Amino acid sequence: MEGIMFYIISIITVGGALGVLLSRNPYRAAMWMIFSFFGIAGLFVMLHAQFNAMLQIIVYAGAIAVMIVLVMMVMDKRTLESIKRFNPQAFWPALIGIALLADLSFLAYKFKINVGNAGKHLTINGSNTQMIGEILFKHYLLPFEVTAIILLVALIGAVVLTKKDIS
Amino acid sequence: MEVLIAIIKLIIVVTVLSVYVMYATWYERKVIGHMQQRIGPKRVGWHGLLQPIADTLKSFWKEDVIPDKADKPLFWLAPALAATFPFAAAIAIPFAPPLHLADGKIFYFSVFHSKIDILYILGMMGLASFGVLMAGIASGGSKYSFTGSQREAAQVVSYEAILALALLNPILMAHSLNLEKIVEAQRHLWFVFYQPFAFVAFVIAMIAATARVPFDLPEAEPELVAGHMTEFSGLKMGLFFFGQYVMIFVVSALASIVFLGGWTGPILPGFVWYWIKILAFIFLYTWFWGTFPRYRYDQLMDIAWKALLPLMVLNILWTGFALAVGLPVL
Repeated sequence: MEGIMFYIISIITVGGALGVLLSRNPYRAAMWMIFSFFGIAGLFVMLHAQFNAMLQIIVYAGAIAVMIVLVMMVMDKRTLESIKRFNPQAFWPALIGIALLADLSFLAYKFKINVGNAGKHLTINGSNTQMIGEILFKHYLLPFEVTAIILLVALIGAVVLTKKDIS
Repeated sequence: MEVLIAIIKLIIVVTVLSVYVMYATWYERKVIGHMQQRIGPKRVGWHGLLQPIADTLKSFWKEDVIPDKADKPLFWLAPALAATFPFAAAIAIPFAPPLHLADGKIFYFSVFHSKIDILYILGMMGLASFGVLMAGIASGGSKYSFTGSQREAAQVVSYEAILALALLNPILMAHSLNLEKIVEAQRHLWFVFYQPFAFVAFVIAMIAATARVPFDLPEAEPELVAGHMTEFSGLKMGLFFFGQYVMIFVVSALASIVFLGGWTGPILPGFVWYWIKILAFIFLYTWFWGTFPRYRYDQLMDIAWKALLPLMVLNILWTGFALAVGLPVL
């Protein structure tokens, strides 16, 4: 049962990601991306990390994907259509992809991963809201705050860069 | 057994909400009619009570027009998504206070119950906007639809942060994301008295979330015909209305649970209190419709980002400070 669920969710995730790469229409690519985020949220639910799953949906599918669609909508239509989705340099990325796949299959072979166990024994005990809060704000408070400040700097940097362009 | 109970609950919830949507349209037309010195529906049945059934039947037999230039798969998917996600949010809403059974178990009157109810509802509400966005994209370059969707996207990025931040104050005070626990925390005094600013911000954001007057920008009739729904006809258009009315129910129930104490209240039983509060919020929507003019969407973004966001951040700082030093939060 867990195995079947795991495979369905993996197909959703990987299929959504492939849809992002392969669809010619940029809007459709954005919709496939949400599909993929949905699958990732499903994987988090299988890990009993419901808090992460819901944050995945709220932040990525709900906010970031809407932001991407908004940017595409306010862009000039001709600019959007003139951007090429594919280019002829597919050879080297494909090579890297094959190397990565070979690497992963080698690891799977070496550590003797049993496919029959897919989706089982995934539960991590107590990975819930309170645990995340305690770990973030008790043990890793300083790195967390530093990350927040870096994000703020990036935000202000983006504003400064665009302002310069206008004047 | 549990799966069977959940399926039965699901069927009941979908049926009840569908009938609710039909009569919500009748109720709105009636109330808005009396507010504007008219009578409203009167001819079909007693006081027009059969009017919504006639409207629904009519929409089944309407011709289904699909524009030639439309992106067909997305054109079919858009109304389905617009109706599905509000229903998905509604299954986490309790329809009555939980029942304590004799053998120590608790029977919940919601299909889906978890420790993170509020986050789940927020997530589904966020996804519900994709039905509207997709409608504009799929309509094959129709300017009205596209402008409507564009406004919806701008609206989503402004209200969603406010909605989450306004809910954060009661969550901080109740120490839980569980709807039952939040109601439990308000036994003595409702959170609206502790958090008046958060309540006002939540009401503004929830009206923007359901795209109703004064924030009904995606479908502003005088400028955009019917906004994102312009190219849709018959049942497809009906599905957008379904989504919108179910969403109104979801945010009304959420507001009454989080800020008005859900099923707590003196004298009357909890069930009655709960539904009085929900119906009051649904009436509030119609009241606003009859009262306020529409905002421009840059005005909405100003309200959200320049007024409500700083206010909510200060409110959270104050709530956190007061909870840390043990003051009664006010």
